[in-house]
Amino acid sequence: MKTLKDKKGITFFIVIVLLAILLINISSYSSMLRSERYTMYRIIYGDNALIIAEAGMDLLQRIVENEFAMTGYERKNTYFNYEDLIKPKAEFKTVNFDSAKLTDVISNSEPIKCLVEIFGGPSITRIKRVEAVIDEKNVKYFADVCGITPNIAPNFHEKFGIINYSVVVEYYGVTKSLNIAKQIKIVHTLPKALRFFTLFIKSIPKGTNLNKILVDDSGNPTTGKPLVLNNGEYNSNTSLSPLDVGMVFLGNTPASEPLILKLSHGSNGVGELFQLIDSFYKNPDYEKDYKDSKGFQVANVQYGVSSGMMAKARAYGIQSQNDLLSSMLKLYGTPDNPTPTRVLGNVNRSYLRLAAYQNVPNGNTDVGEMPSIPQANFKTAGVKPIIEKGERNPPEVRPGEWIAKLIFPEAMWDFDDKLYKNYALYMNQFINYEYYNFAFQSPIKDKNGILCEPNRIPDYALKLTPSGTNSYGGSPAKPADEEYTGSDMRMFSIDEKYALPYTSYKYNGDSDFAEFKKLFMNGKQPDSLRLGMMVQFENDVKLPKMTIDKGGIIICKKGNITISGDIEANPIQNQVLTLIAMDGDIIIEAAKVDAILVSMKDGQKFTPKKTLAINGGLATHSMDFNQLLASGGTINFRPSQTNSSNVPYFYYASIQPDVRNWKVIFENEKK
Amino acid sequence: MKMKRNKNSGFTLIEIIATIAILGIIAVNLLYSLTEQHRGTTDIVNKVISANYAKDVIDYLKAIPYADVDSSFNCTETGGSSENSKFKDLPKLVEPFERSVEIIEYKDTPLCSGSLQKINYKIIKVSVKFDKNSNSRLTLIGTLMVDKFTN
Repeated sequence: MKTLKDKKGITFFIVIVLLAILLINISSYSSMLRSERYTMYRIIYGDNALIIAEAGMDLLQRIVENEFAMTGYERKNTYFNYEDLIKPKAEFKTVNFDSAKLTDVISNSEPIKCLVEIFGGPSITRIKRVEAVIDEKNVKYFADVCGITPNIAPNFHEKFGIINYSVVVEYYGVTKSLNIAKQIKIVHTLPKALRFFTLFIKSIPKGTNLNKILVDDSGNPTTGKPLVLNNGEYNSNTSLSPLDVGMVFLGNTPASEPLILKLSHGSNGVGELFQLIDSFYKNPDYEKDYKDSKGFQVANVQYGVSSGMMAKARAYGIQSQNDLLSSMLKLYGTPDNPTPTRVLGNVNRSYLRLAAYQNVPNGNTDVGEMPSIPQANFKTAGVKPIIEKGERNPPEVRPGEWIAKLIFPEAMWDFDDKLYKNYALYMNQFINYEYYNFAFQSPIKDKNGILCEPNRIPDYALKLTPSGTNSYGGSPAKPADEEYTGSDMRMFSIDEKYALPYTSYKYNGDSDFAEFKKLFMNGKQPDSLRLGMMVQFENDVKLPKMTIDKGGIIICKKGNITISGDIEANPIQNQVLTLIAMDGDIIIEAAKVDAILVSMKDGQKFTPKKTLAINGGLATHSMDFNQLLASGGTINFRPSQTNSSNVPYFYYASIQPDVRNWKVIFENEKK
Repeated sequence: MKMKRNKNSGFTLIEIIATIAILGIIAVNLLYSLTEQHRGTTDIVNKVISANYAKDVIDYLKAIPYADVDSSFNCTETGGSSENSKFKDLPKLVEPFERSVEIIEYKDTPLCSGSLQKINYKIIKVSVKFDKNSNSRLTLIGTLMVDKFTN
């Protein structure tokens, strides 16, 4: 009996055991499924994190590339210290880009925020960290790699190496890190500012007999030959932004006689005429405040505008909304001679956006550049903005009508008056286009706070029109230099510190250029120049006729650069050649020169022997004006000077193409 | 003989019913659990497949030059029926998957709020559904194509 009772218990026990085994099996199966699901989710999350990391990586590289593009001599980098980058071999250390700033800018960038929203929002995924590093271990120097070649100066500033990027992304707790390495080159360049110069004359010596050219009412010279500056094609899709084209700097020495410059726009012949005239303020207030004034003014007259408006356009510079001028005059004085220029009329008052030369806190002087800043985001480089202190804060935007009222007599203050209306529209165009120019948005005063009121100027019209029969001009604007008080914006120099360390080839020169030609003019065409680097001549150099197939820089350390034969850029290659006389003059005997010419040291001058025809730019300490008057000529700004295709000759650092441009091919699927 | 027919040697009806009931409850729960696990696994498998379908498009478009990626790629494809000729080189969609591609272009957009830098970029948004009646059965991923800065 006891045994039978036990059987029932055993059966029950067995059932329980079987059930337990079943439960355990099912639980473990279930657990396994759950675990696999979890693993698969983690894979999906990881993949998603990687996709976001790749997007972040693309953006990071664009940001860094853009940062390099803005490098040059500007030295205003946000994410790294430029000085670290260009240190020579013995001093170069690992360059760490500012990870916190990069992470912040990428995480908060609109594209990434947009992407994060697609993936579920910031509570689900985020970019945790972004890094960019140039490790000193991964850097080599061209001088080491190439070895020492006769005449080739070892240059330990130039280097190449690896830049490592890293983006770390978190997605639902899964963290993924994407790392990319790309090659970077750090090579020589000239100040980027040179790319924009059309004409830069640092000083006009006292006693210089300046241009005595007078013009008739049509803007045509009646005496002498003007220097025509061509700032690129007018109103063309291919032309650069007006902010990027050339500029004119007319020195800091007072002009004693009028100098006339014509700025034209390509073949259309539309442009502006700038005339430097004597000080015209004769009223007692001005005389009192400007007792020793040596300033000259710049008057601007439009010419060549469309026929219907011709007469009045010449008078007031009226253009239709569709005819934005592409040239500009950028004038600025010096602290020692603070008001050398005054802008009258409808001059596009876009002053130099960044110092060509500026003092830095440690007392060093750096040659600066003009960055490509969108008009809407214009900011000066630590320079006081163009604004009337204490007048309006924020400055009140004044319409064009307000400006027109400053100019026209009250009887004309009516929109039925075509001239008044068009002028107002024209000024509105400036305001819309250059609304950072507060001079148009606040009362226009001179540096002593005297309101610039045309009617206060005696013989105003007479002074502005050589014939005295016309009534050119507009409202005097605020002196340019006042806007930059306290900051030296005017000096510009090429000194040995910046130019010579980047020389790749040194050459003493010889009469027939045999050595030079063997290295750089050795193509099928005997006059084809294939430079691609900076070449330094020790003494005088006389350049023969040449065609530029590969641009670069020729620098003369001591002595003059004489251009004896035409220098022409190959229109297919469209390369840029820069000629620098460090301690001598530039003398042009040729008829045509496609180059940027620089001769900036005190006493240096630019001497044209024939009619000028420069396609490039001219930055010179002074100019032989007598010679210029006799010859006249044209300086054409070349848009190709700013093209990215010329990057190797202008940028310090370049990043090599993205090797991750892979293509996915689904071979298996095709089969 | 008395010993052979012991009343306590078998299970009573009540005991059997109770046992079956307990086993039934356990079995139902286990089956339910297994079904759920199976459904979850099926879902995740479908999600992986969906993600792959989506990534196919993203990889494909990212290999195309920036300028050529435009709204002409926008489409909705249904597995087993409609197919966009532009994606003909990609693995074919099967039922019940449905893939939608949307490309949104941004021009001259400030990099960040208040930033001086402006940038052109394109967002590629790909969603793949494997249950047309449920938005929870949707995989949505995107990527970014960045053009140069426009400043």
